[in-house]
Amino acid sequence: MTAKARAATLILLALTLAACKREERATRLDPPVAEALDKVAVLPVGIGGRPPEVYPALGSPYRSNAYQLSQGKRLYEWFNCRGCHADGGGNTGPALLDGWWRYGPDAVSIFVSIRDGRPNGMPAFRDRLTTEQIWQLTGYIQSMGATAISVAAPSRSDRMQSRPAENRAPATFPAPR
Amino acid sequence: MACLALAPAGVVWASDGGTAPEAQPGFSTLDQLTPANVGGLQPVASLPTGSRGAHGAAPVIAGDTAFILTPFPHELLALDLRAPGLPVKWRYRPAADSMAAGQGGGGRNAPVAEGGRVFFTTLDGHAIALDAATGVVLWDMRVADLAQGETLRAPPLVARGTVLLGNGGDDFGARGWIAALSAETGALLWKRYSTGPDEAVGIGPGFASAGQEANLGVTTWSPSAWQHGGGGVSGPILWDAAAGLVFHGTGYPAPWNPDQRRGDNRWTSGLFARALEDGAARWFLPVSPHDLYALGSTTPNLLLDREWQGRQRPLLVHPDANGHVYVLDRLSGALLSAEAFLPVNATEGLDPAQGVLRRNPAKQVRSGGTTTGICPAHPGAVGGAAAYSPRTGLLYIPARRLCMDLEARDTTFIPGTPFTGANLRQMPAPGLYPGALVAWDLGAARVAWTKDEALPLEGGALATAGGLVFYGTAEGVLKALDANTGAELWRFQAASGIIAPPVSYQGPDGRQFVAVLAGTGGFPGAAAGREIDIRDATAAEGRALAMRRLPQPPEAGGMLYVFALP
Amino acid sequence: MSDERPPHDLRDTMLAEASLAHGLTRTWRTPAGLLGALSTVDHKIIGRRYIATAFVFLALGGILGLLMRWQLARPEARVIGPDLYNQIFTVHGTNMMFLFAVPVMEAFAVYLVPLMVGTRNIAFPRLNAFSYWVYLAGGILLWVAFILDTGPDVGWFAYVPLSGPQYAAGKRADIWAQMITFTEISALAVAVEIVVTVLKQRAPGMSLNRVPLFVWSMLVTSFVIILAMPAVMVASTALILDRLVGTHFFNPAEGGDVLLWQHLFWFFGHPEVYIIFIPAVGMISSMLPTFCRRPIFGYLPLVLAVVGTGILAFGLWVHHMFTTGLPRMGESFFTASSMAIAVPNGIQIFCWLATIWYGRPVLKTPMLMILAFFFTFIPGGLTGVMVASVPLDTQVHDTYFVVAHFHYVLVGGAVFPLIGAVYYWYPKFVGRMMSERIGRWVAGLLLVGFNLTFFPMHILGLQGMTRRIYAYPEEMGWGGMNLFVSLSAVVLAAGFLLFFIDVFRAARHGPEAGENPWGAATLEWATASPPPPYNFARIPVVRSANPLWDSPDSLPVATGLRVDRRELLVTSVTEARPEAREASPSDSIWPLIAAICTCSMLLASIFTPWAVVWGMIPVAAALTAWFWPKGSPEEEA
Repeated sequence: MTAKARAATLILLALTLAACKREERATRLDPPVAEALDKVAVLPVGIGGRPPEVYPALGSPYRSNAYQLSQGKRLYEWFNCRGCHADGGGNTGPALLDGWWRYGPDAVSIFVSIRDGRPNGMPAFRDRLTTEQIWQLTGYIQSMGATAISVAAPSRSDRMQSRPAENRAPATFPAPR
Repeated sequence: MACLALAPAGVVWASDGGTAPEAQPGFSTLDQLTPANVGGLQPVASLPTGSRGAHGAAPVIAGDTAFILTPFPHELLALDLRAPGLPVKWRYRPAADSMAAGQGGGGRNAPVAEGGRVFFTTLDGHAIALDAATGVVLWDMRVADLAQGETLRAPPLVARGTVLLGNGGDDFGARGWIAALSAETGALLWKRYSTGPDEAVGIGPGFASAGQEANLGVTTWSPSAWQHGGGGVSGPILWDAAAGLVFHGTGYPAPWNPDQRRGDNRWTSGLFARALEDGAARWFLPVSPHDLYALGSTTPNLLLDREWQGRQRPLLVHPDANGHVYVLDRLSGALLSAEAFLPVNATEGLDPAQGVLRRNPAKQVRSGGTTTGICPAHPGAVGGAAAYSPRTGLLYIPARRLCMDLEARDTTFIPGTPFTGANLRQMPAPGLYPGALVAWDLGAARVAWTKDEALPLEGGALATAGGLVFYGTAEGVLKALDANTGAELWRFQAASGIIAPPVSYQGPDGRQFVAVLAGTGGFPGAAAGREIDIRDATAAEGRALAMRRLPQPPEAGGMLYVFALP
Repeated sequence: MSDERPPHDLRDTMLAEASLAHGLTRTWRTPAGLLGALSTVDHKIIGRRYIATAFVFLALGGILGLLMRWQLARPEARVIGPDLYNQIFTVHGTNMMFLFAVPVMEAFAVYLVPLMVGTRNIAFPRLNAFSYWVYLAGGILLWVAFILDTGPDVGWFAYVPLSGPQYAAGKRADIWAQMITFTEISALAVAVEIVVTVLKQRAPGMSLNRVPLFVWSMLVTSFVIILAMPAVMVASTALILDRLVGTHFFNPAEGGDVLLWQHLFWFFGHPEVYIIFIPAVGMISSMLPTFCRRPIFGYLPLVLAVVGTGILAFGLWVHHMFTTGLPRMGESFFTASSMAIAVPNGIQIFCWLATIWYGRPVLKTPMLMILAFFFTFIPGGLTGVMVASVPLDTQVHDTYFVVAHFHYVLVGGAVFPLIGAVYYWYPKFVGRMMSERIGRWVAGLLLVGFNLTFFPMHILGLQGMTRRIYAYPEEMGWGGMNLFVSLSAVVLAAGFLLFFIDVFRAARHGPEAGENPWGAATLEWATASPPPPYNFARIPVVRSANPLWDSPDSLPVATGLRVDRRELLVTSVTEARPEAREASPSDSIWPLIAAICTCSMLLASIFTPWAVVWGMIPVAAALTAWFWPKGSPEEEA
């Protein structure tokens, strides 16, 4: 094989192996993996902690994979999150858009908030959503309050427009109150 | 009448329900303050309540004690009116289930003093009775199930040894009800629902029907939708002692998305008259059947005995969230008048034959669709309790003039989460200020004058026999207007916004005092009021953007202000 | 103009054959080496590249088709998962329509039209080079994206709201939409060149009634491209804006319209299939006289039929939307127009049949492919008339019936004539003949394999098998026929494989072809095989529609063009009277650089709208350098 052809094959192979993580669609998790995703280690104060070991092994997809984020967005509407948090602007629940997190910005805190609920009105969804769905919501909510624009974040919905899409609007921090 | 003995003449508080026109909520018979001298009104006391929440209810004056119930998590304060500076005699803080904070901050829980006792309801579903002098708990009953989305957000009514209260939680799909507890023991005497079979609702032989079918509370709904149908009794309940009837409105049906509950949705968004003994319904007026816009009919009512078109009639006056003033004969339930007090486009006037407003087909709401520019917007055109002055014959309505874009989406009932199925954007009505105090000539059924406000008015009005109208704005300005002309005579800037009605009482030294609770908790109505982000046009049900000019300085929190002439 | 001739004004009248050829070669040749290859503006080299690239895409798309058939061969097979299957059928369709079918027809035009009209080079040759690079970039974009798991997965026509910002997560649909932009720029460029070449650069005496039918077809096709392609560019731009910027073109909640996409797309999409079909019609009209050894029957009706087809093609698009709930009255109109377009097609077919009937047919491979066309396209056209009926279409829309129909008309109507055209013009392009024996095998395998593969799909569609499903349950009873279809697809693939083998084999080992191995009538056969860089030593003068048959020994020529610089003859539109000598641009690297700048800008705009703003700067710079005036004065004849 000529040198040129060899180089071309290697490049092609490299490209294939580095298949774009952003676009991957895992439509179903293996049940043991799904179960393992529930095992977050939470700090005693309930804020912060360590994600399950299987999470980085999966490639931390829930924050950076376009499909997972769009699933999170769908679940956000289907499970009545809008009733308390509006489209991120807040109502009876705090705003999720403004980059201010009562329990910290990391994924584990948000996951625990959704799974176990929080005082002052956040219900627990552990009996209503699968672990994978809670992680999808977590990733989506983080993308709502993100401070940098991400290519994988969802674009505008086919709905009444409420705010700029997640992929266009980084968070701005609110004035101190 | 024993309740009146506790207070000097002219004291008004949240509920008594006597038929004397002078003893109406929102009207003070004191006439010391007049348009001539109100300019000299000064603050004489200011007391922090210790809560940073939304103070939606007025202090209750009973004798020489003022009772203040702070917003959730509640604390009941008893203040000594005799001493300067209003020291706290005792305070009581019930155990609070913090999950109730998710119900939102729009509650107007207030205490009621009667027979040496103080009764109040809590947002997390308790009805509590205390001894008024000492603050000792007499009984504490959990009546509303928070896990099902029920809450209590209105003051109870105490009538003939019965404590009447109704639930809130339409937004959470809670089925509405009104219940009567024994004032002595707190035991449940009866409970009637706003949806469901006739027996549960209280439709029986005494009900004034005109050939109506049976079980309308089931048949006018999509199958089993009535079980999470809303219709909560989340407004004040009134009582006509002579007739033995209690009057209340029912809230809007759940979910807001009308296609999931096809039919007229009895018995939501209407007015009920019930017998006090057993809650049996006497009559029902449907105000907004198949409510498309989540308006409901729980705005405070007034019971007036006055002349109507030539003859004296017992009236129930109901300024409704749909922007019309309803006048009914409260004994028969006959609708006498329903006229709009501000421009609306969701309806096109009363259909006299049907007794309901005609819908505007251009503002139809469909699941999956967006309807723009609906006026009035949720939660309605009436922002606070209206006040009636028998001197001027005017009804003073604190109004919101907002319009909305509504997008209805299919939703699922998940207990403990909102069951609405609609997203809103709100904006001021075109060409109008978003708030106004509307002076409505009750006899002539038209607007006498309007005082525009830069923001919707969320607190009730107070009319005095001296010819003044007092009300507070969300920016924290307490104003006094001439009751006849609407000219602004006096104003005071509070350190926090005002969403509660002012009250007036005669102090131990004989002076007329005006008191108001200030404190909005950030964005009024939102439990997380300080954490609203208006980049989302649907935040706080769309009102955040419409009210974005609301100043957001660090609030001082809840404050009680008392004013008098020096 | 003035009598003063600048020095070095060397005309072809002054030179004898050998030195003429030498001089012209020096002026028109493409230098050897990489730079020469990258900066050439010779339409034949670019045309060959186009054809080769298009056939590479055909092979790749065919592999995707085979993968689909492998997955569908058995019920609920696990060969390919749903996500990959979605990408495969989308890329298969997109590749075939945008990267193979239209470009290959354009490519043949790029190569043949200047030769057929008797000119030295195509009009706007640098634009021609630019269009090839942009096309290549678009194809690479799509295929690299597919390899990277970012291939579009929303169907080749990417309906919103599925391809919209809410339901198509990630960048896959953006890649599709931007690839459209690449291929449309390329197609529009070539269309413009063809129109100008055909209208203004024909050989003297080639009045409009003597223009070869293939050239007529390409002229009509080019107009259809110019009028139809902007619709899809608007649609894909609106889609990218919706997805990237958050506009609401297709959002009904904010005043947009979902059907707008379908209208815009199909307003292009239906003429698109005629963009593919009309050149094939032209190919048949060119090949048939040669193999029937008589001039084509009904030249004028054929021209009018082609023009009529091109015009009527714009009135059919709603027949793709019969199930969207449009008013019945409107749909009925499109039923009528969809049936009406069978009339010009029918005229063409009868003219061809008459040519065969009154001729003396020679059954060489191109003729066999034409017969295969008849036996395939006509049934496809008949099922087309069937689906033009709204009630029937409502039953078979989005089923395999439609898949069968459009493969019959596209493969039968375009690919078979294309294969025939390759066999026919290969000697001209390469200088060697392809194998007649292998050609017969190819024709047979293709015809039999195609019919065995796609005919049962009619039945599957009527049985209810829907399109775009990656698996079907056993209980539906489709397994047997699907297995048969998949096995037949292997036969079809074998035919194509043989064809490719023959193409490669004949390049080295085929017998040498002379100037006119088939004894054909049109001008491209009047020069060497392959033609020299300058096409014709002197511009021929045409006196009839079949010049090589009417003047078999020698052709009259027009002389007076310069030899020392690139020049061609511009003639009038209708009568082809000589008007002026036009300088033809020489080789330039700027088309490649402009293409690189444009493609980078378009690629980056998938990710951020600012790319359009910043990307304009290098594009403007490249275009400025491209168009920088050379300063040489034009002379008039």
